[in-house]
Amino acid sequence: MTRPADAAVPAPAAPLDADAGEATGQAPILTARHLRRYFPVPRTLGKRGPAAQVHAVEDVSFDVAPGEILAIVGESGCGKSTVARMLAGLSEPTAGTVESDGRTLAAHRSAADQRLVQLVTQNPRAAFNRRRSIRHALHQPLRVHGLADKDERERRALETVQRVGLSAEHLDRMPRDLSGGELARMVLARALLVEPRVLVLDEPTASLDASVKATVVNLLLRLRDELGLAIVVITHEIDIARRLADRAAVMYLGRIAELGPASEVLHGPVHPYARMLLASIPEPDPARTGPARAADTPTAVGEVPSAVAPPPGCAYHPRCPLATAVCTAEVPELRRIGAVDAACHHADA
Amino acid sequence: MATTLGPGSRPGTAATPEAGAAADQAALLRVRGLSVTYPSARGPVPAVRDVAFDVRPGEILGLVGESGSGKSSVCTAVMGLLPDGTRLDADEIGFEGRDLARLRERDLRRIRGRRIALVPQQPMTSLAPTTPVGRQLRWYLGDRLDDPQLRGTLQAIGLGAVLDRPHDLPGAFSGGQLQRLVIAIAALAHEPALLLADEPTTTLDATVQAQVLKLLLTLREDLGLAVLYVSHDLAVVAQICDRVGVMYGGRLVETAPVAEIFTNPRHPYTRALVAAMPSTTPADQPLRPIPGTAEGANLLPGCPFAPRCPEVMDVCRTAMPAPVRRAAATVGCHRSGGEAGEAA
Repeated sequence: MTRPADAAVPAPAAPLDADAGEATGQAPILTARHLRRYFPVPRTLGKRGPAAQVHAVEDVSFDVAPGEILAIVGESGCGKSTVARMLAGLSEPTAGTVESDGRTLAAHRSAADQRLVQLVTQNPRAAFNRRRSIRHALHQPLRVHGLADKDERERRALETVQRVGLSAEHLDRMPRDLSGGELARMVLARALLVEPRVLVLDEPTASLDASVKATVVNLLLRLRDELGLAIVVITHEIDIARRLADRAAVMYLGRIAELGPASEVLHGPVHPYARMLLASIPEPDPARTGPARAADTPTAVGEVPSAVAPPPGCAYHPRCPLATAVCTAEVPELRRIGAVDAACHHADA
Repeated sequence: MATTLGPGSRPGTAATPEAGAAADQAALLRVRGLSVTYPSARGPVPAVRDVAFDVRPGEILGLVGESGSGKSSVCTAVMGLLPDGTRLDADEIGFEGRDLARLRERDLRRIRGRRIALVPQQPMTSLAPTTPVGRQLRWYLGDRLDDPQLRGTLQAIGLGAVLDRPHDLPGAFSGGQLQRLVIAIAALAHEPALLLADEPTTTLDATVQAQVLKLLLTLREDLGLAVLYVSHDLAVVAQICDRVGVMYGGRLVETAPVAEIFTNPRHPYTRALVAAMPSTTPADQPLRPIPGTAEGANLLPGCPFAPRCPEVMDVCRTAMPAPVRRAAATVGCHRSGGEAGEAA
């Protein structure tokens, strides 16, 4: 049997306050402070003048506490994966800092700081050397970080593999001999080997079939509980985020539109973009069948604008039903509306 | 009653067992005994095994399954676009009075694009990257592109940007705009009777997906188009389809009206799949994954789901259950066979 013992996994905690650590009563383990990241646009041949820039991330701040799962949701191009890479130290912020325990983590992280925050990227099959065994892949982080001798490496590899619900025989296999679900758990095991305190997961279930997504979700909840990990999960799958997250952030064009308890943000958000995003998620509701569906299927207006030249003011205003003159002029700051923080001039109107 | 779902279901058709011998004249597409086998270095790989289903006029039939279940191969086989060396066996692929499985390539070409249109997963691969979109629209729509009524239709389905910028290349438009463009060409160029849509929204974001799904529903209402909608996403299928076929290991294990799939799933795999969905599990309970993997299921002599099935019997491992009719559903499960039927 290769199933994790997931029977005893508790559900995400009950509604929380919008502040990190409220669930656990602990101080934040990781803080993103005013993160910005711009990428230069390759210049078209023959064009002159200053290079254009993609404003991938524009002033993003949040905390995550031990034992807490923060979901960052949004559509492609909203900057959520860039945030993940900055948290893990793989991408240097154009401005802003990543902090832990009151200390700014340097752009080029020390080995200890690298171990503190581990990133698990999207495609587990691409994350392994096809020509080396799983055992080699799991020994490697301990070897690179000089954390253990050979016997100790094997012991910890075995322990970690079992922690994610796999067994010793998986260590002898090659990556191609593992199913997608097993590989997804194996990349988690590899990240856990260096005993991180924060896991950053970029689309952990996007490449998995429906029947195995549930395994990974249950495993993440169990790891959070057993190890007291802080987890930042980047996902476009709202139903997965709802199962996992204590708190959630919705991003649009590089900015956080709404941040707060998952029970609010992922169920009844106040920001017009977050509302439209949630309304677009197909729900398996058998009551909504027949031609009536065409009428009541909610749809977005227009397209996501370019991040090279985002609209002035609130980036969502060209598509927003609530937009007024102020929205075209002033960038809304995150402010407390009910239980959440939302960046909208009119959300409480 | 669920059998009246969809504009295409007519009296007399609903009670006809799909797997039975009785001719179902009302079906627009009638597939019987369809098998697809791909060659490989390790020998033939069966991808679709003895699949039978109907698509009625104006109906949206969903085909759902996990990767490797054979759902896309069914779509490709109906279109007659399987790669060379692939073995296609079919008792019948009946469409508008002809058997596509026995048509010559020359005759198939008259049907493809005209009577049966395909919407691919990646719109960019169906558009010429170096030709302005306006000219490409004109290839397919001709002078009708100047018809104000057609332009109005294109505007209404969100192609205003394409009409406003006809000299731009496809690369200047978003994935959602291009997918709507491809769907518009497929549906409006020749007003086909059947649209095959293979994961048309899988690469799209949620808000854009909602726009494309709405477009498909609108076209169905306006043109009476039937759609075979292939997807891995049960939630999408729930929103757009009238009936759903669930595939596993190359077999169609259950076909039922969409509401039945969720409220009264009959095949153990369908039950497990619905139970594994995050949205069907109460928040205070852990999700219920399906143990094991689907790998190798297409090679099993018996029921492909037998190794993972909680209700497996000895016979399941050796013999493939014959599809049986249960109310509006067709299910292939030994537990559902005979009069005892309807396994709890």
